[in-house]
Amino acid sequence: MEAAISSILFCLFAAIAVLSAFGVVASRNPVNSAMCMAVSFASTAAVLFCMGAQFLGIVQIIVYAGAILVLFLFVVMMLDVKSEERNLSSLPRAIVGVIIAGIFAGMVTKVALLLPGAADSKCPIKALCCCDYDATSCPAVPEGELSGAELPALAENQNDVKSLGATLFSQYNIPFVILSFALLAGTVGAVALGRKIRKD
Amino acid sequence: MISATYTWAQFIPEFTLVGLATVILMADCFLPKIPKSFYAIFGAVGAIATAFCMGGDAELSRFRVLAVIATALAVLLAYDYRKVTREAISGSESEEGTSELYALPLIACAGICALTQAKDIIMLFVSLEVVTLSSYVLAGYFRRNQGSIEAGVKYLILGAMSTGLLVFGAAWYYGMSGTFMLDSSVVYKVLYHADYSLRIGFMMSMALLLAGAFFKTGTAPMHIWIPDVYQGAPTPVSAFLAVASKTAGFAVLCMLLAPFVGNQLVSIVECFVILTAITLIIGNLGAIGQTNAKRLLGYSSIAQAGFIMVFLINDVGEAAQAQVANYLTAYLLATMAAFYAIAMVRTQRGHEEISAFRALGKTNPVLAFLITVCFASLAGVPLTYGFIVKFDSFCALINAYGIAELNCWFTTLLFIMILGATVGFYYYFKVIREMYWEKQQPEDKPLNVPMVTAGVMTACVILIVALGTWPLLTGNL
Repeated sequence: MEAAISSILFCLFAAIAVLSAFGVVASRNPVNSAMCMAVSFASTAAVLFCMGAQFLGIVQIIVYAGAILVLFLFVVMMLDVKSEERNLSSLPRAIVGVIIAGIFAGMVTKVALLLPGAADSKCPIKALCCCDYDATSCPAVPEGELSGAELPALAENQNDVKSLGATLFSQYNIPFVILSFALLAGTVGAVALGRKIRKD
Repeated sequence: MISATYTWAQFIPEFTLVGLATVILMADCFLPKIPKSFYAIFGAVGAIATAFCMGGDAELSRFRVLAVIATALAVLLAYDYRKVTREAISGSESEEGTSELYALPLIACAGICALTQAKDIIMLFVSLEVVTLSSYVLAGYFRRNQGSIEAGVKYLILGAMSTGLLVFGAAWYYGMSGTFMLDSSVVYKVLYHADYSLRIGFMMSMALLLAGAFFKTGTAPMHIWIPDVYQGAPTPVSAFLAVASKTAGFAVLCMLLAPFVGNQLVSIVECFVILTAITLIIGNLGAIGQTNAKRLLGYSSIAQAGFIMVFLINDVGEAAQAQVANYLTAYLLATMAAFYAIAMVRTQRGHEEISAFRALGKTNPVLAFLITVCFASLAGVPLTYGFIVKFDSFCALINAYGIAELNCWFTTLLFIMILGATVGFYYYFKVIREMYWEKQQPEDKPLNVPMVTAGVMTACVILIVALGTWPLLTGNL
């Protein structure tokens, strides 16, 4: 029963997220687009909550719905963006786009449905932690290197934030520091592109 | 849980480069007396010193050195380009707001260096983002110039899409393998897994990751941004994107494909042959009609990417990586020198059309000779390094299949490569023809060659000729 409800909720929120994301692109009025984006962010957060990633869900709401979207609306307000004049006459181009997107979506769906987890929800869809790989047909795998390859099962009431922080500052410490370079570049770039140049 | 292990000592060059950038930014803020163009010299010298001090123990260390040198040369090019930069930024002689053009490439370069040392997708993605984010800003740096804004927006939107593909691929990679490690044992475990569906999912994740890398290298079908962005972006930035960013792309490709070496179960040869062929066709045929020199180099970079892709068709082992690095070296030397020439012509003759090179053979014979050698190397004329590496590319294809085996993939690609190399002669020689065969007009004044440009171009040409003749003299091609 519990599983059924959670999967119903998942489908519901996922559908809302996708539909409102479509609304962001389809709407001609920038304010409507931004509002659709808010709905999309919120329902993505709800999906994350359903999956038990509370911290990610909260961050999603605080950062995306809270900060980025408000910034977006401010820009729309200050620049006084008019509703977009769109030229919808290029039908062939739209058709090609739909075909490519359809092929891509079909590919992803097909692959996802093939996975063992699609039929049996108990089976985790990971090669290294699910059932054993076919040892007979596999030649010369460097054994031993991957002996500890199993993913640690998430304990039921494990502290989400704590484990996230521990991972970030131990295992992924150096990538985390490298990421700060990206933030530096972003900050410098925002200042460089946004500043007013005095005319001498 | 397995994870990649890194040590802090590995990343000293990266921190040095970011340190240099920070020093430039701080000095820009607090020491307004220093002329901003000095930072270009400072950054370039610092980067070259870093390149010399870098240890070569990493697998892709040659890519790393190449990227740092390319960045240093691009920053140095920004020094000779400072007149145009000043006009584009402030519309006057004021140097205000130009120092980021010297600092941001260094940060991007730190990203490329970190990239070459990545052992897992996390590091790969994070460092690739450093490169990409800095490049977005750099491409649109000339805010008053419509072309630069267009370049910035196009690069931002298409780059964001390619990042999206890369991240989606990374998610699938984790889902299928349970780890972010890029390792042959991971590949083996997934590919030989009893469940066939995992293999399909894994291959899809690889396809998405490769698409992200193709964006950087400029391989079809992810090449569409190249001509527009190269044309619109400030010339030093175009040079950076053309050489350093492409080096990063090929490092990613090598990294993603290396775990598949010696694998008989999956074959992506056909897929790669098709992509290489399309890249070669688009790059070479697209270049024919170009009149803008930067756009021409844009299509040229697509075509050269096609020739580099040939090395990756079969097995991406140590040997293939070395060959890719060789090709990138030749490409760096010729393309950088060409961008220096374009920047100089733009500064003194006011535009970047190929016609700006008119009659340089009469007004500046030495300069015209240097430019001729660069474009000849790009086209693959014997006695230049460009010929040796292009020859190597043909050999790689023939070695991959064996000359006796009549394979339709092989023959088609070989035919397209020959066609591409031939067409290359036509469009690269358009510049040379403009310099020697066109009549001198009264407004064609001799250019005075700035010292930095003269030095860099001479060094590049000497290296092109030396590396191009040395194997012929010693007899081991």
